[in-house]
Amino acid sequence: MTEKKNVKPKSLATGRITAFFASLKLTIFLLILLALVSIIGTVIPQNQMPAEYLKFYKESTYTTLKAIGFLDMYHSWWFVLILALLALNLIVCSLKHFPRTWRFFAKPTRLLDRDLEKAANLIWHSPGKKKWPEPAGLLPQLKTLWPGKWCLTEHQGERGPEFHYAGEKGCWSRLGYYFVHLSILVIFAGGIIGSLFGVKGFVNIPEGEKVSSFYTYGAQQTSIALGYQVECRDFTVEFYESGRPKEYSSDLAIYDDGKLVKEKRIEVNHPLSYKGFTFYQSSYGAYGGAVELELNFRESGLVLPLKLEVGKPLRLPEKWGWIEVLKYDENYMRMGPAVMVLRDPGNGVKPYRFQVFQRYPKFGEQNSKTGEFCVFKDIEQRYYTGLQVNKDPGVWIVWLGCIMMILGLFVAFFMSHRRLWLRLAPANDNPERLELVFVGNANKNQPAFAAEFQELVKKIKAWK
Amino acid sequence: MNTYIFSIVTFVYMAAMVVFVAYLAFRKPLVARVATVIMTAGWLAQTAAIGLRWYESYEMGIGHAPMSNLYESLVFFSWTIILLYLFIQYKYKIKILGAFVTPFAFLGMAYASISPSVNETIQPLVPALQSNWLISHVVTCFLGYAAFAVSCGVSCTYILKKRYEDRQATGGVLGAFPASGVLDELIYKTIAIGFPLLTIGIVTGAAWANYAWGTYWSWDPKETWSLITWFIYAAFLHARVTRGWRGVKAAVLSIVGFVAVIFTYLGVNLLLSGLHSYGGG
Ligand code: HEM
Repeated sequence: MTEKKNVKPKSLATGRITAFFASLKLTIFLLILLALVSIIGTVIPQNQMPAEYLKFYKESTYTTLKAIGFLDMYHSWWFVLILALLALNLIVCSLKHFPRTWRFFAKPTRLLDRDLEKAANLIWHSPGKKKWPEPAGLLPQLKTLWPGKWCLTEHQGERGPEFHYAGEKGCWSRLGYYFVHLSILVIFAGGIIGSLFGVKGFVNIPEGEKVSSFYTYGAQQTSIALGYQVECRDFTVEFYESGRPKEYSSDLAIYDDGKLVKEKRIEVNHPLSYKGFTFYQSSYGAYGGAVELELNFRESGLVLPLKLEVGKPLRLPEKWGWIEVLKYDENYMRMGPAVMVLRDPGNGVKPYRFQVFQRYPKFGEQNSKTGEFCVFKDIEQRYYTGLQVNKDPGVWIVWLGCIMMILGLFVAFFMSHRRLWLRLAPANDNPERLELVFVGNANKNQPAFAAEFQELVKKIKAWK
Repeated sequence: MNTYIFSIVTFVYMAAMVVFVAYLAFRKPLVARVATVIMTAGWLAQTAAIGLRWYESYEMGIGHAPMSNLYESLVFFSWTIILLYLFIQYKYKIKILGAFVTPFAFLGMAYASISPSVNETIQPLVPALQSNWLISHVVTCFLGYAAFAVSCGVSCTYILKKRYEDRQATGGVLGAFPASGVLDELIYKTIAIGFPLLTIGIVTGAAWANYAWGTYWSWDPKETWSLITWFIYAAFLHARVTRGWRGVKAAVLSIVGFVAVIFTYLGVNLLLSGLHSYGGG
């Protein structure tokens, strides 16, 4: 625990630096510091457009916040520096402690000497009266009594030969917290690999069309080739009665080298992966399907069936002017599908606009003031599906780290290194008789081990 | 129907709390036994009501585990706190903690039942929540939170008891508390249960996020706050083995940790914005 004997003069400064980076106080400081600075990014929205910030902050505040990295703080140099210091702390500390832990494996304590006896808090001495089993035959008995790893050492004591039995269980549990610490480094490594070699982007695919590249997020939006084609065959969306979306999904197909290689219906929470890229259902939109309307003229009773593209004005025959569908809503004011129509009768009457509802065909007739009205028959609704596209080669390393961490935590918290020693040696008062000393030690959860120890003592007392 | 049972459970927990406090004052084992019986009865009723609510959601055709909005999560939170408390009481035979733990369960239920901003109805799930990850994520997080609630209760007791011992006082209510060494061990034990659970909760959350929208970590406020909580408890674990940080300082860290838990759970939704759903109810 104190300085080693072979400290050379020149290593004094290095020694201090090592001690600093190995210290648990630094760990506590860094962890609390991380907790504190992380709060900043939850209070100040991160990575917004400049315009968003300027709504809340003055220009000068904005530039200051940006300069100190508060607007993208989890990637700022100082946040990364704290993480790097933590990693360094972890490595130095583990390297420093490891040799001491390794000694439990390399040089287990086999002799129950007087020091160990004095320091023990679980100890039982035989009254020294009984006759104990043959020293050599004890080992198998001990193994059935407590199935750990046992070994016997013969030792020449002051009053004659002594027999030392050492047994242990769960020595490897001492590695638990090294495993936890290593897992943190593994997760860091996965994160770094992901940010260096991964890409994130999006692509919108109209129903029935194919794409072979996608766009990255950010200001530049560079296009990235997939190396194959993705087709959106079909897109569907369902709603709850409240108008909230219930489920939306896209039927995707992948063509590699012109051949169909994969098909899958993806929805939120059910993505599709192919050759390193994963496609996630993230949004959707409606776009220009043909709307089927009937234009009714009340006086003449004439019905004019029309097929209109959204946003494309249509010139009607005779002198009936123009008509245009301005907009389509799937669920306008919770009244179902509706279109907004712009009508220019062309006879000097001012153009006007109105909503036509698919679910309420009578509505138009009842509310018309102009002698004509529209009925919304159908829409050849076409959607595009919005996919998020992702490639993260580090993600498996992160999961590996997570699994290591969870396993390591269970070992660190719920397993312990339990050791027992038993010594048969000539008694102090009568070298002819053998005296038995029994000692136990656990590095964690002592109360449970103490109970186990008392049970063992009872069984030893029962020995003939 | 289920909400009706939940309001009764609220009162049962209040009764258990009162009897546990009475136990602090009178220190008769019978009182503690009565408190435990009341608490267990309340917990069983709550378990049945949670099952019923789950069943009712299927009857309504929008079947999902009852953990999807603020109301359901508050109920579930109280349920896990009592569950964990009963486990600890059974395992470590310490009844005195009831008075410090029941208030959390009672307040959770009372807030769920009374606050007008908490919607009690069973609501359908938005697409992002329709996933098998939901249950494993929510259950592990809340079990972890419950362990931290218990440890916060113990930490408060510890600080009072430690002061009492340092004064070398005798008698009084505090005299009946377990020795500070025992409490210190209990704080560690509960955090040793809570920390792996919180870790699994964060990992399942990350796995779900990765599966649902392709990023395991996006520093959204809720994620970040759960990580802040994790940092604080990690600091606690190391404080316990560091000279100068043991004892009261470590206990304070565990209380701060629980404040962070509450903020992660409620504060983020009420005060900050982000991906997680139970905002406002
Ligand atoms: C986020 C970072 C860290 C996490 C999650 C973590 C986690 C843990 C856990 C779970 C334990 C076991 C605790 C126990 O059994 O009670 C532990 C022990 C330990 N950690 Fe860390 N650790 C972290 C960083 C560090 C760093 C940077 C150091 C470097 C000084 C460090 C040094 C130690 C030591 C020396 C122990 C052993 C304590 C003992 O004797 O039981 N840890 N750590």
